[in-house]
Formats: sequence, structure tokens, C-alpha cells
Amino acid sequence: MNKKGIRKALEKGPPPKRLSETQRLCLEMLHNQQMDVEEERTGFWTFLSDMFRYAGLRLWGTQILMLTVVCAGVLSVYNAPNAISLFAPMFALACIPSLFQSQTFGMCELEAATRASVAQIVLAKLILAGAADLFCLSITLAAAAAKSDFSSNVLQLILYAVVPLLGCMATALWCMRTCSRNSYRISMIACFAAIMLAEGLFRLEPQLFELSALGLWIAAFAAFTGVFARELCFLMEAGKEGKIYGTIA
Amino acid sequence: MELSLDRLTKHFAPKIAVDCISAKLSPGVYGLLGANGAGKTTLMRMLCGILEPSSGEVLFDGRNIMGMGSRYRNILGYLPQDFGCYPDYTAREFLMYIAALKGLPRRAAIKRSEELLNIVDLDACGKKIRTFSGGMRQRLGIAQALLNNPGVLVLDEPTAGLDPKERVRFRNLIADYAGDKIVILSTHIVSDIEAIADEVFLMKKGRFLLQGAIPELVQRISGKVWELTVSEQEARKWEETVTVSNLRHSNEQVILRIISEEQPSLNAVPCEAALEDLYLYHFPTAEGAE
Ligand SMILES: Nc1ncnc2c1ncn2[C@@H]1O[C@H](COP(=O)(O)OP(=O)(O)OP(=O)(O)O)[C@@H](O)[C@H]1O
Ligand SMILES: [Mg+2]
Repeated sequence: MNKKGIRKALEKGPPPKRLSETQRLCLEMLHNQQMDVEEERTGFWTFLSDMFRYAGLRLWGTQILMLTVVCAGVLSVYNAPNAISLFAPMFALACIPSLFQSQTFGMCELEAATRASVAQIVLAKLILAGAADLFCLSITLAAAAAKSDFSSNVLQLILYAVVPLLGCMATALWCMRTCSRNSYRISMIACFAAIMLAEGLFRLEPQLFELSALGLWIAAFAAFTGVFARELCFLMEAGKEGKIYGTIA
Repeated sequence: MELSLDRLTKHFAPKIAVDCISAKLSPGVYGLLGANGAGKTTLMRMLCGILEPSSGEVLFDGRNIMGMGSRYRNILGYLPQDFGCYPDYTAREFLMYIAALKGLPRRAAIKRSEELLNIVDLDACGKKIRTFSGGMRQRLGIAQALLNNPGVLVLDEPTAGLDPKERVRFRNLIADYAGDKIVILSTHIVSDIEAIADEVFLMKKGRFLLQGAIPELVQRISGKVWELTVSEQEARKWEETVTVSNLRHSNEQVILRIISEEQPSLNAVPCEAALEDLYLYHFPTAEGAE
């Protein structure tokens, strides 16, 4: 029964005889239970909008900065679609410092003891970074597609961009969860390694970017999506149940 | 409201940092006293749920805090021993950021952070945190711990780096705040514990050596504290052979405060014991050097 229904049912009954006494008793009970009544707390979406204000703006700023660099790169290289896999990890490179910000500034312990804990903070930053990445990748793909020497289809383009980016982000999350120290450094190194690997493949193995190699890219996409999804599950579980995520102290 | 520690243990192979500690904490102010490396910080981290115990558990009103998740952290305030701050924030921005992490609604957060900035005397300071002195940072740390009006307040060396005036202000703040809350603090400054804490835990090598109210604990070494007036040369000799808790000069003579089971010399007169004497009685040398 909803509130309205309850009120109607009560109105139908006999008038209360000891209204003031009941009210006083209720107030007293409420007062006694004050310790158990939890103070109001904000939900995840308010938290996300707060995080946007405190971390998101800077995160988006660096992503947009990286976008201009990447677009300039994409437009200047020969065979731009294939070079996308070389540029995509740069977006990960731009958002990883924000993900590891609390480690860099020694705020881990302090943040971990708050309601949000580490997992929810990372999750919020990941959502913000994801939104920025989606925007930046679309622009990059459009820039690559606009270049005249375009010999790949859209699916190829998307895979060339998403596979290395997903790989870098999955590595960063895995490091954060499992490596006690140096997780920030390892994640950054992984991004640079991905860029260099893509550069090597772009120069030495051009046949990898032909339509015949599409199966290989799809397989890599499936593998990285699997790892990323698994890490995301760990993160969401830790966020929901308030478990310790990664090494704090 | 009750916080109980049930055979709480933490190993950092091959060392045991906290060794099977059990205690029940009801509202009040508890002081943790111990030498460097005694395990205070490790214990406090486990009380805050940011370090998983190797065995044993921390229960809040009978529920394991690890299982309570954010419900426990809602009522928790924590000041770590070492913490950084985002250097580009002002004190006000920093508190608002922590309030967001603590899930405080914006209007409540603004009100509470203004109150706290006023209390820790940072309200007029619009500077970035990077320009703060150590004591100012510490005060900001204390303020952030109090933001959510916590029922369980854990402060790891809160008075480190505070000047005498600020220490007094901090003592008064905690005395006002405590009431029906559980406040646990560690410090090496015995006089702070004496002034603030209702009950003291003396920690040594990961265990509670002693616990109880201060007068009760101090009572245990009454009759073991002596004052002896000697010459300067003799003073040096005495320092090598007995535990000297204090030494002051007076008219080319030295008055030694000695902690000893038996009367160290016929000229020694018994005097009233204090918490510091108790500490020195149990930690005659640095713990590692023993
Ligand atoms: N993360 C860690 N890894 C390994 N050993 C650790 C770790 N943290 C603490 N220890 C060890 O556990 C013991 C207790 O350390 P803890 O920091 O709890 O001491 P403390 O009482 O807080 O000392 P202090 O007064 O210096 O702050 C020390 O011997 C320390 O070396
Ligand atoms: Mg410590």
C-alpha cells in the first residue's frame, strides 16, 4: 500500500484518542534511535558529477590536448587508417595519470577510508575517461577516414583504434589491482610499449592491416575485451561491496 | 556503539606487526602509546578497514567491518600518519573534495567545512595547499577526518607538527567532540595522551602490554620513581646504570628523576609517578636495540 492508501485507510478509522501522547512517544523513540539513523549520503550519480568537477575537467582537458596532437599526426602520415593503432594508446597515456593520481600524491589511505573508497573513485574516473575516449576516437576515426588514401572499411578502422586502447586500459586496471608498487610506472610503460609495437607492425608488417588479417584483429579484440571486462567486474564488485581494491597501505 | 578487536593479527613476513590483539572499545577517547615500529599504524589501518588482517577481525556492533563496506566508512573518520594533499587545491576546495568522497550533500558539506576551517584556524587562508606549512597540513588533515561527524574517529599522530597553541586547541577540540563517540589516537607525546585520553593502550612489539585508565596505570609504578640530587660527574655515571626519565640542573647540581624497582641510593627520595615514567619503565631502551 502506498502513502496515499495508508492515509485514506487511517482517515476511515475512528479518530485517534491519544494523539499527543503517541506523537511524544514517537519523538522520544526517534531521539533514542538517533545514532542508528544514518545521515543523508549522496548516490553514485551525484558522486560522478562531483568527480567530474574535481577530476573530470582536467582529464577531459588532457584528452582534448592529446586529440589535437593525434589529429595532427593522423592527418600528416601516409596511410592514416593503419597508423591509428599507433595513435590510439596515446589516449590511454593521457588518462592514466588521472587514474593513479591518489598514488602520485599520497592520498590513497585517506581516500580509501572514505565512503567512496578506491574502487568507486577509479570507476568514476574510468567512466569519465571512457566518455572522453569515445569522443576523441570518433574524431580521430573521422579524421583518418577523411584522408583520401583510405583503403580500409569502418570495422577495420574501429578495431585498429579500439584494440590497443583496450589493451592499455586493461593492463592499467590489472596493475592497479595486483601490483603493490610501481603499478603506475608499469601502466605507463605498457602504453609506450603498445605505441612502439604498433609502430613496428605499421612499418614492418603492413599485411597485418589488410582485409585478410581482419580475423586476427577480431580475436585480439575479443581477448582484450574479455580481460577488460573481467577487471571491470572486479572493480565494480569492490565498489559495491566496499572491499579493498589494490594495495593501499 | 562498540568496536571490538578479536584476535587481530597482521604479518608482514617474516615479521608480526600486530600480534593477536583483543579489546573492546565503547565511546571514549583511547590513546595508543608505543615505540617506533610497535605496530600502532598497522593496527589503526586495520581498524579503518584499509588493511586486511592476516587473521582475526574488527567488529562494529557485532558486525565485521570488512563486510559492512561503505556503511562502516560512513561513520569513520581517519587521519593517516603520512598523507599527501592535492597541491593545487585550497583548504576549502580540499575539504569539499573529501566531502564529495564521503558522500555529503553539497549544502551540508559547505556548512561543515566552513565550521571546521574555523575550528582549525584555516578559514582565512585562501592559499594553495602547496604553500602550506607542515602544521597547517596536519590541521587540514584533522579537519577532513571530522567532516562526516564520525562515530569512530581514528587519528594517527594527530599532534605531530602542531605548535603548542595548536596542540592545546586540538586537545579541546577532541574533548568537545568525543562525547558519545569512539576516538582512537596514537602519539609519541605523552602529555597529549595524558591530557586527552580516558584510557591508554601501551603497545610493544605488536601487543598490548598494558591497558587501562591513566591513574590506574600510573598507580602501578608508584614507589618506583625517585629523585636524586648529585654532582655533574656522578649524573653521567647514573645515566649509564639506571633509567633516568628527567634531568635538570640546579645550583651546579643535577636533579635526576630515576625509575627503579628499589631505592637507587639512600639519598634518593620517592616522588609522584607520571605516565611518562610508566612509558620509560616499559621501554628503558629503544625497542629495536633490546
Ligand atoms: N607495508 C609494510 N610492509 C612490511 N612491513 C611493514 C609494513 N608496514 C609496517 N611494517 C612493519 O610493521 C612494524 C610496525 O609498523 P607500524 O608502522 O605499524 O609502527 P608504528 O608503531 O606506527 O611506528 P611509528 O611510531 O614509527 O609510526 C614495523 O616493524 C614495520 O617495519
Ligand atoms: Mg606509525
